[in-house]
Amino acid sequence: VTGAGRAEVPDLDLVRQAQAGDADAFGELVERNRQAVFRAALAALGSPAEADDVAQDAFVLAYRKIGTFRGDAAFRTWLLAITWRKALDRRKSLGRWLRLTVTPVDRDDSSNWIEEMPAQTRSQEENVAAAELQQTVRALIRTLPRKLKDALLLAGSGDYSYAQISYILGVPVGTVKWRVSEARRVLKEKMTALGHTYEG
Amino acid sequence: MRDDPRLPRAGSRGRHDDRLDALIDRVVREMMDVDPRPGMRERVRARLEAASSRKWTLTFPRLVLAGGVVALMLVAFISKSTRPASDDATTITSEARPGGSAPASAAPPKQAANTPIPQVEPQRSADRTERRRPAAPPHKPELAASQAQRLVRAASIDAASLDAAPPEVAAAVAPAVEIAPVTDIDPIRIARLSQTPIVPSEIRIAPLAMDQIEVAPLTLPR
Repeated sequence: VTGAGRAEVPDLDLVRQAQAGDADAFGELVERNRQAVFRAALAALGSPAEADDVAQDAFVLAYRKIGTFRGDAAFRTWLLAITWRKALDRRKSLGRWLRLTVTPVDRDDSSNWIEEMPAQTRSQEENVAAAELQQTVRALIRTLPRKLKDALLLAGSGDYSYAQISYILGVPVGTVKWRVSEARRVLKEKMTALGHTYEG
Repeated sequence: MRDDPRLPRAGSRGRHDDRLDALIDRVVREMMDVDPRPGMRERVRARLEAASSRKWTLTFPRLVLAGGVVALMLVAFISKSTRPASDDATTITSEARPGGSAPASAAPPKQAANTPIPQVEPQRSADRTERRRPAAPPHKPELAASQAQRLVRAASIDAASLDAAPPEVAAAVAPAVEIAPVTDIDPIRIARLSQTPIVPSEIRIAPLAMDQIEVAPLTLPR
């Protein structure tokens, strides 16, 4: 099976072909899962360049270890777990810590922000304020504890089910849901403390 | 709480939360809405090829090094097993015997070779000791002399022949410490042990006094 014909082949069949040494089958698996893998790494690292690098590492490792895949979980889930471990290794690495220390992530804690408004009804000044608001929320997300932030970003990306996130993080589904909820609560509390109100 | 202007009023809390949730959702989606650079498949393939070639370049020198070590060990083993076992012993004996003709390479200097050396019979232990240390060809007279001294000292010394030896050889060979002759000593006698039988009825166990027991107050862990 080659070219467009491979698009119809289920993941598991491609995995079996890759296990038998078919590099093209593995290439098709890379093509199918590249975005999910990349975004999982992005959720852990926050940097697209690092996420791309880690995604490649994860695919290389998956290719080497594909013989150990037994099909207990879906291939994508297995791949995402590998990616997550690689991303965590990168996150803990000394080199990354030094790099971030030299060029720290922008942590703009500006409290001047306004509520969401339709773009067409905003003035230029309001658009600037809306952009600043989003920057503030981004900065607040970055300040979340890692466990809460990881769960929030993975769930919020829309690429993964709660079951997949549970497998990736190695915690029960209920824990994932609680972490997402807790992350939202903390964020809302901080935003409220920064002065945002909705007058009824 | 309600007077705090930053907090929403009661009726608007639900709407407030919904809007904040929507805002968080949108920001998270924007943060995660990044696609990988195109050509991931090719980059992964290139990385796999680079990894395999790097693995080979790392493995090849290691294999060469390991092969070299094995070859050296093999050569050393073969050369040791094919060498005549009596070579060293012969050399030592011929050096140690007076007037014996030693090989040119292992010959002591003229002075030492011509000096009559007392008759010695090299012991087996001396042979073994010297076999582990192969005699290097003496390039300097001092080295040859010290070698001769080592050989002679390693052998058992015949006191009579030592007396007949010239003073310089006797000085080199003679032990530095003189040992006085052993005189007869009385045999050591040990008194016999007296055996006292143990009578079980005489064994008594004192009662345990409870007032000697102290119990520390229990502290609860924090």
